[in-house]
Amino acid sequence: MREKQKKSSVPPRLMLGNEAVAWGAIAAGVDFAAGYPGTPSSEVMQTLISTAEEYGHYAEWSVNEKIAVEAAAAAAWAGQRSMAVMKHLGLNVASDALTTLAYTGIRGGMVIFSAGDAQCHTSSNELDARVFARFANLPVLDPSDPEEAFCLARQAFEISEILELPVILNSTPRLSHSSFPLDVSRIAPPPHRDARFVEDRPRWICVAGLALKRHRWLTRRLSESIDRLGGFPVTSTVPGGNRLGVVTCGVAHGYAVEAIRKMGLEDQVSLLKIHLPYPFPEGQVRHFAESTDELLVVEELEPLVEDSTRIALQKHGDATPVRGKADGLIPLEGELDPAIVGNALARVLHLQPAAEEVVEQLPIRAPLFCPGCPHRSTYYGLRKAIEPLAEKPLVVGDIGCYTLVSSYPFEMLDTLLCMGAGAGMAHGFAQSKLDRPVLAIMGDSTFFHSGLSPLVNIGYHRSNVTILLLDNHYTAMTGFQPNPGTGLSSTGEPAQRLSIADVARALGFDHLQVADAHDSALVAEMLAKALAHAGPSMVISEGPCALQEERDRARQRERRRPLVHIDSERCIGCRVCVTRFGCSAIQWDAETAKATIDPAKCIGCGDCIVVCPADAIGRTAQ
Amino acid sequence: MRSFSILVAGVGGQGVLSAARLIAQAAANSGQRVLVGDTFGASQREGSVLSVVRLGEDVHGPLVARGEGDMLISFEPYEALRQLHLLRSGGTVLVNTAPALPVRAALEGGYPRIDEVWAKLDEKVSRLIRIDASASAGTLAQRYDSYFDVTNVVILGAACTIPAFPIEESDLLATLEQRFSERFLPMNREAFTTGKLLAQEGRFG
Repeated sequence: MREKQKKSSVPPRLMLGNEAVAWGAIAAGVDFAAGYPGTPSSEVMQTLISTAEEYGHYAEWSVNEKIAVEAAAAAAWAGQRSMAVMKHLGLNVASDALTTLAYTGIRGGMVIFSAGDAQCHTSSNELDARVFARFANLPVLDPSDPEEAFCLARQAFEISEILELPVILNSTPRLSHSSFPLDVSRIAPPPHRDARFVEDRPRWICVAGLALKRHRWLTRRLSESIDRLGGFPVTSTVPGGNRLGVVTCGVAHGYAVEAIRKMGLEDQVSLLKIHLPYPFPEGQVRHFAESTDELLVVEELEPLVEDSTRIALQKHGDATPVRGKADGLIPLEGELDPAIVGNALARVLHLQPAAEEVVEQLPIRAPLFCPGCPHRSTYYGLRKAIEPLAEKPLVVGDIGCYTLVSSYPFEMLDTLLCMGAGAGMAHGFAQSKLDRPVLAIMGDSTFFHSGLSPLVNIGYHRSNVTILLLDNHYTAMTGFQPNPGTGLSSTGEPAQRLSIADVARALGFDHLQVADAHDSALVAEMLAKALAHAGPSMVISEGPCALQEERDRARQRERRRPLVHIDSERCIGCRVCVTRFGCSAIQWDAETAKATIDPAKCIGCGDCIVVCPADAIGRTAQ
Repeated sequence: MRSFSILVAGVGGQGVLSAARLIAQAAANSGQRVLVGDTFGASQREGSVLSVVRLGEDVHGPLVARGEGDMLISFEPYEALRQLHLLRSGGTVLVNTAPALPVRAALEGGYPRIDEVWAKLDEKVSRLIRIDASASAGTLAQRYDSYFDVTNVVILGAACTIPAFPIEESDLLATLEQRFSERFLPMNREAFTTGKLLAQEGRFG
């Protein structure tokens, strides 16, 4: 009791939209959660993992999204409430499972959280998960702000159970990475459910004629969905004038509300927000259209609501004009903002659009590897290995921090497609008898996520491919999540560390060498050997993520390592340390034409010492 | 509109997001309605970072339209210039004077000279407060043999001295005390006080 009073006197903590989603799932009594990290989704699983012990649910970082979905589906088939968490691109990885899960349906509520990336802030495409949901015949909820994300995450489990279908919960960077104070002190989750499998072979064995029957069930179920969800607010309205009806979905709703208020259009415009864009609440939209002269649909990316609105009106012979992406008022690409929505409103209502101001244009700051990053010295070694070669290898990329080999000062990357594509495409280049050697780069987490199958394929076909495997022990780019190569469980307890070298040898990489990532000369020597070898070869460049290593040092209260400095007397101004090594702690003083080291950024790794041809770089005496 | 938007800008690794969260948490603790939006993209290190702390009843989204920010707190002068279009005319700018010029720009150009940045900021901003937070934070980190950069807390201390800053100093300090463990509190308290002094010198000196 005292504990409760104490809790309620503390003001609510600021939480990210992603944390709010996790707490919504906790409030719904989620029993089982699995996910793979990916910006901007990762904080959902992080929160579910850090609360697992207190709230008694199971939570894991799976090695990829397909496995996360399959594991969560199993729990849901056994009657538990389950969640699978990923970024939008993970839906593609999981789609084989997801598209058939729609046929079988589930028993316990199952929610698939997908954080999209309108604007491609950190992703290779802008796939709209709402359209994926329609493609997979799965209901999708699209919250408009973090508070609603909390509510809809909770309700999604009930909706899933009413419809007996997994439900996709969509997010965007603006929702996932917005914060607001959320009071979770009074959350009272229902009791956890025991997993119990109820045999039902015609349902759980989805094949051939049985699958066709389930498809018929699914079609019927989707057509009845809105009626079955009678008790849930699948839409909401902001009343106003009748001149224009604005139909919104997701984060675009807030931009529309702000634009309308700023322009003082409340007496001309009313709003209808769609919480469930698929299956589409046709009746609600038709009803809304009846009282307005014209409709403007405001949504990010694909015109899902816009097209569905046209279909809904056409079915009933309603000729209310529907404006939006079709007439170029709202862009199909990138994220929206209050200004874009304001301009669309101005054009529909024949008002003066806001004047375009000249914005100060500064070049984009390209991200660099962190000081002490093992990838930097690895790539320094890679360049050393490649430079003397008459035939330069094609460098085929993959997804992780190490992708930054594409940018200054390395700029050595030739291709990048998606997770795991590096080894898969390297094989294709090699087998197509490309006129150059082929080198694929891959990180430890990608190795486990989607690297194993293409490596098996290389080993099986004895492809002439060199793999440079950068093992920094963590899924670093998305927030240092552990993976099977870390030696830690999802919840941070010590665990068996899976040896990438042992696995790779078993897959057919018998020409395998392991280097200390900070020893760039050794990396270069090994890569030269590997590139000269005909057939599959691998160099594992191993060294833990520098940020994580520094954090561990701080935690263990170790003293900081002595910093590194540049002797300005000895510095000959050759620029090698900045143009070829490029540590962000090394700066260039244009006035003296010499390099210097920023002691605030240097972590004392010493990787740069060997780079200087004039021996001007050394440790600061302590 | 009943709203107040604080733009917190800087470069990846400077502690921009934590500073914005501290401001927002302090505002929330004092009962204000608050929404924070972060833009950091792939800026693990050295990329531009912007966090927007929005206070008030009329806030519905995490983005600030051009010319509608009320205050800009920049951890770096170039980033102040980059985000200046978001600030309304008459808005206040607090800027850390230590430039973080990308090394490529130092070698090859492409960025304006720092004195041009200051000239532009002087010309466009009616209330401009400059402090060298990085130098003070560096001194503190050395003295405490710390792995952590407290530039952001120095800047927060300075922000508290601005009359338009909508958070009470006591609320922000209380949030700091909540946020940091005993071990890190002394350094952060000192950083905060240093920031206050720097801002007062900057204004009157």
